[in-house]
Amino acid sequence: MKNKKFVWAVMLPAMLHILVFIIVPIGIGLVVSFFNYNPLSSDNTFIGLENFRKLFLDADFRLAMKNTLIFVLATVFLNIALSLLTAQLISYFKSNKVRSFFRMVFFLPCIAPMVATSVVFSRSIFPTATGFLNMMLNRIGLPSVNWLGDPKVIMISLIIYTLWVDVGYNIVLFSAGIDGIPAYVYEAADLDGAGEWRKFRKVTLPLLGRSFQFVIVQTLISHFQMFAQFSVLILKDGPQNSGLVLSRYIYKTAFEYKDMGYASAVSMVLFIIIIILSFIEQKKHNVDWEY
Amino acid sequence: MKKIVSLLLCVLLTVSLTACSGSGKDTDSGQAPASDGTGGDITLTMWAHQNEPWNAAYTDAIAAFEAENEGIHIRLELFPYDEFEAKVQTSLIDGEGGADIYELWGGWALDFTPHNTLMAMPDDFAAQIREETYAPTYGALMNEGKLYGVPLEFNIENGAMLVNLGLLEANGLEVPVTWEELKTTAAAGTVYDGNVFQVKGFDFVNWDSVPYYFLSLILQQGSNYLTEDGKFDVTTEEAKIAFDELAGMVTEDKVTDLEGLTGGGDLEGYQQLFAGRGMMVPRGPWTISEGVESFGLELGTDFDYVAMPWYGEEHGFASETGWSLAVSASCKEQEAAMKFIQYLYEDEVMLDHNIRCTQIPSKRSLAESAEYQEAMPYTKVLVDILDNAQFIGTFNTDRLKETVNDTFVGYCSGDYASVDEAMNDLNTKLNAILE
Repeated sequence: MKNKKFVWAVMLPAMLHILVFIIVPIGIGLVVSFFNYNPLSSDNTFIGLENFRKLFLDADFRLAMKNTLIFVLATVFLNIALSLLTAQLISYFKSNKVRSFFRMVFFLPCIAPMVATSVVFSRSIFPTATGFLNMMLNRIGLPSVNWLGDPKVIMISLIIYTLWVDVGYNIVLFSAGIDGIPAYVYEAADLDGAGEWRKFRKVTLPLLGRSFQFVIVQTLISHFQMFAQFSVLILKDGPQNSGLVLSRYIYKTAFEYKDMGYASAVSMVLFIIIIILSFIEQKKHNVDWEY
Repeated sequence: MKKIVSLLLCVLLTVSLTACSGSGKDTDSGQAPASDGTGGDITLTMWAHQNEPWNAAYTDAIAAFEAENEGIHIRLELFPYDEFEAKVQTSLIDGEGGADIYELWGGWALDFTPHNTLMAMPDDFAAQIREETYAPTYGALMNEGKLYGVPLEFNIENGAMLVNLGLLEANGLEVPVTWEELKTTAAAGTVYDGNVFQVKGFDFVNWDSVPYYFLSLILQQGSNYLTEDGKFDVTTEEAKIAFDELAGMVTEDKVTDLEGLTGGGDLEGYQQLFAGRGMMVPRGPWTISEGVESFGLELGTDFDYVAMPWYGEEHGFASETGWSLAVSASCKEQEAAMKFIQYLYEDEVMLDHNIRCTQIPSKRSLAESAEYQEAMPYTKVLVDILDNAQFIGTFNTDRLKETVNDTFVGYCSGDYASVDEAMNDLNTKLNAILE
């Protein structure tokens, strides 16, 4: 009983923090979405569900939603596949130092500020005439690609950058999970004559259930909210808004168009999508093992 | 005892959390002017964006002002441009924190003047400003007959262009004087390597120039893009001709591409000119110092700043209100803040500021003065046409530019079946901005 009180006492600041900085703002956002709200105006009228009705008629919102879903599905899938594969490859090294070295190398882009790396990619890696990527393509006899100026290519460029910047975090998480799986499980598989692929499929993957659940939910949430590369790496949401995503659209609507009510309605939609996907993911990956 | 310790721990953590979250009132850089405690000295905060020569000019002006006005201190706080707009907007929206005096882009003021967020200039001072400055320089600072700031400059992106003299000479070309010459010279100077530009003959495709020249070409044909009741009308024949003329240089003459609007370039168009990859680029005079200081070029030898040929008979163009100074309505020491603003507006101080910041003066007498012409002779091509300008209009110019540019990219990319369809769509979208 005493222990329980201490736990409550220690948790109270964190709970207050969540209440004040997360739950209350969400509540305020929900309320604002029912108003024609301009923070500069003294006349902010209640308009009920009008902002939500407007969403269905708004072509820019539909485009932003489509772009967001394409971006998130592609980056989450590729991120998890790449990070899991890399973590597995790293785990083959026997030396702890070598494993740590590789984990550190892959984690480095996560430390660099995204705004700064976005500038580097936009000015040095992706430019059509002088960019590093096109120089490499030209060297092997392939034509230049308009990475940031072609509406059909821009999302691929954004996905490439996002994978580079974000994959290291999940590599560290998966590595920790893989390292946590007891050696005797693999020894038993060896005795049964299982090969590397079979061990990965039948032992590693199922036992990484808890890591998987955390990585998927966390990556989903963060990728839905990504902003820096859409704001800095590409120019004004890209040609014909081909790089416009919900997070940018919320910012534009709120701070450039000063329509906070509508921006809040878009935020609510994004919030609900994230909640639903996280809930489904949690239900699907209900696991008993913890590595 | 454990209970007490737990409770204390809890209280401490809660207090520290509350302290970390701030109280909402930024006392360090807030509106409430700092005082020395004796009730004498006043410290005002001024916000401006980072720009080395501009910041140095402000710093010197502040020092001179403080020497003349004992007891008033101005604390200059600088922010990177990309953050500056958001900082200014959120602080003025919030009404708390922020600065007493703001360096403000004219277009931003439109959002604030109707809501009493900025202080209205005293009537006699406002009348003086309106009398002495060009109309476009204060248009966005006006609301219901009141003026809410002091224009520092005449923002102009029309009427002149940078030319790379080396590239012109290498191609045996001369600076064009007529619109037709502009097009033939641009075509003659354009160089490709396969599909990739090596030299763009006339790179007018950037965020500002496409909308400005679209409006300017309409005005030069004797028409207007606004109706008498303030609505947009770009469905006129003149608007269609103007749009087609600009798009044709991308799609038919191929003297430039859409990179300046779509992204994909390592440098902006005017920087490409300085790097020898552009021959003619229409931009404001603020680009000149970059050519000299960052690219090590010499004005008049490596590149020049020349008059842009007119398209039509009428020599009109639209201009928006540029950098200005304004006082927050919630400033507690408005008299002291006004004193500083009025000091900066004095001829001698403003002239020094304009020259050091490479600005076209907002004051007619300064723009035409011998001192200014002597210090900045290359701006003469612009000063000569300032009287042809009209204020662009009271609407969000960022949205105007975004809308025109999106339509331009779409039209050049074949998204519209005809110019009529493009103009009808643009007209609807532009009028939506006014709502």
